[in-house]
Amino acid sequence: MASASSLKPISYSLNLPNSRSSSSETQRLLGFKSSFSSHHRNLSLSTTHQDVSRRSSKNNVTTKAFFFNKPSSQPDSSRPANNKVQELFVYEINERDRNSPAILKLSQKPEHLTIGDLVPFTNKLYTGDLQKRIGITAGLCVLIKHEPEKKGDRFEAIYSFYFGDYGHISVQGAYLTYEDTYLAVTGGSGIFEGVYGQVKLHQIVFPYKLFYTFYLKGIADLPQELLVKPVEPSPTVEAAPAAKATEPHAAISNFTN
Amino acid sequence: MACSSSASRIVISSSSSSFVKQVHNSCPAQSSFMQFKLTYPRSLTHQSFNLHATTHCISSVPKRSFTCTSQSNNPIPSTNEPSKVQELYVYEINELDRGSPAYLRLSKKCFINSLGDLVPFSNKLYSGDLQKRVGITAGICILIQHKPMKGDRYEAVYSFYFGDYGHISVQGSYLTYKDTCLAVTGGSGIFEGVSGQVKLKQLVFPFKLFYTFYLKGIEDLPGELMGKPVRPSPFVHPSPMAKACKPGATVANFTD
Repeated sequence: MASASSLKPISYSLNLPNSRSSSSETQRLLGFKSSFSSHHRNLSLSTTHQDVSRRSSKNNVTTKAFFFNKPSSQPDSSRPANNKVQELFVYEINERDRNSPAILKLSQKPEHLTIGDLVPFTNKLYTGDLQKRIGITAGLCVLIKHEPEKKGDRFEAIYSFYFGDYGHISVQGAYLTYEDTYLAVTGGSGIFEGVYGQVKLHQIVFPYKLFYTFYLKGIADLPQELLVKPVEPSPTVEAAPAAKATEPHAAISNFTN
Repeated sequence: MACSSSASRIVISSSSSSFVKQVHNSCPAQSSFMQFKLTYPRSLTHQSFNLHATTHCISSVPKRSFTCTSQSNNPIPSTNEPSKVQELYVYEINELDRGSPAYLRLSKKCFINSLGDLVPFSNKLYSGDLQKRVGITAGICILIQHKPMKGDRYEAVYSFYFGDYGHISVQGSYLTYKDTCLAVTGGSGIFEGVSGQVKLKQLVFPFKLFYTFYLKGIEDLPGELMGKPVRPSPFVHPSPMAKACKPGATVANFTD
């Protein structure tokens, strides 16, 4: 537990020093540069000498992983060859009623965010069609770099998406306030146990509205309740009133709060 | 100290055995301590870093090549072979120009590292052959335990960014006095769906580190990242072109 006696974390209101008008930013954010999958097929995949000799080795040695005397003779069987990808869409919306974000200006420079500043946060999570309340996001953003030219910041984000009785998904990766990013899906629980893959973060209105596209592998088919046709992201998207009010038909079972 | 702790460790050799041979030596660990004080303006306390320059002693052990049992004969390159391991080498170097590390002395103890201290950090990342700047590392170390006369134990949660290629996220222990293995928790881009582990080897605390990734579940890595790694030593440095991020000495849109 971090003691606050020697340092006084200052929790700013949401008037961030580098907040910008939302409409101009949205124009930029919606024009995300091409996705990775198409881009890196153009990269040359030349096999170096190292690769060739490693892969063509005829030694039929049992796989042994020698790390600090922990031999393991089983080949990795946790990732089946089935590479079926399931897409899951969710909206993360900050309705400013969870004391989030908590901007901890712990670094030495008070004027703008620099490395050392931490931003714990938690927001509400809705289905892609904004008809049902799912749960929350919860985690931490570690400020890595302030980018003056881009008028934004680079964070390392480590957080989870909570889906009520369904379980949760944990992610880790870069959050750039000025650009869309891909984060790694590091794991999950409940129906998401064993999940892997990546998630695309699309920021609609900094820092209040975000749209996520999960590309999930390694889990059973997701329930229909979550696999809805998403609403097109735009600055004016709002959760359905019933979902906002978490009425029983507009929320999943034991939605996280 | 490095000698005894690494006696039980066996070096995983890739088939580039010449690299492994150079790492094997039987000289006892040399370590020289340099007291290095960094003061930040308006810092709460002075922060002193001990620079350990150690040449690790790795006892000679039988070399084993790290192959996997299920060598698929499938020539289709897009098939993911779950048990095929790819080794990736990178150097992480702190050039002291990113404000990193930011030591947040949040615990109650003023002049001693203690549970509660947090250390966000971000350093530069170079390919294993030190010819290309690939990107950065970024994340946080959470101090777990301070061992007097020995060093610190941190829980590290961070990512390695490779420009347009994507990123790899890791989590695990970072000991300032010993090599460790961290878990590869996931990735994006060409590293999407990756699993495995990564060996952290500290060359100069806390400025130079050498990583060996053992990655599974992804397609063959591009040749650009698979150059023959420079033998890790305290004296390694990136090529001048890479350090200056000149075109041709970086990956596409290297992360900065």
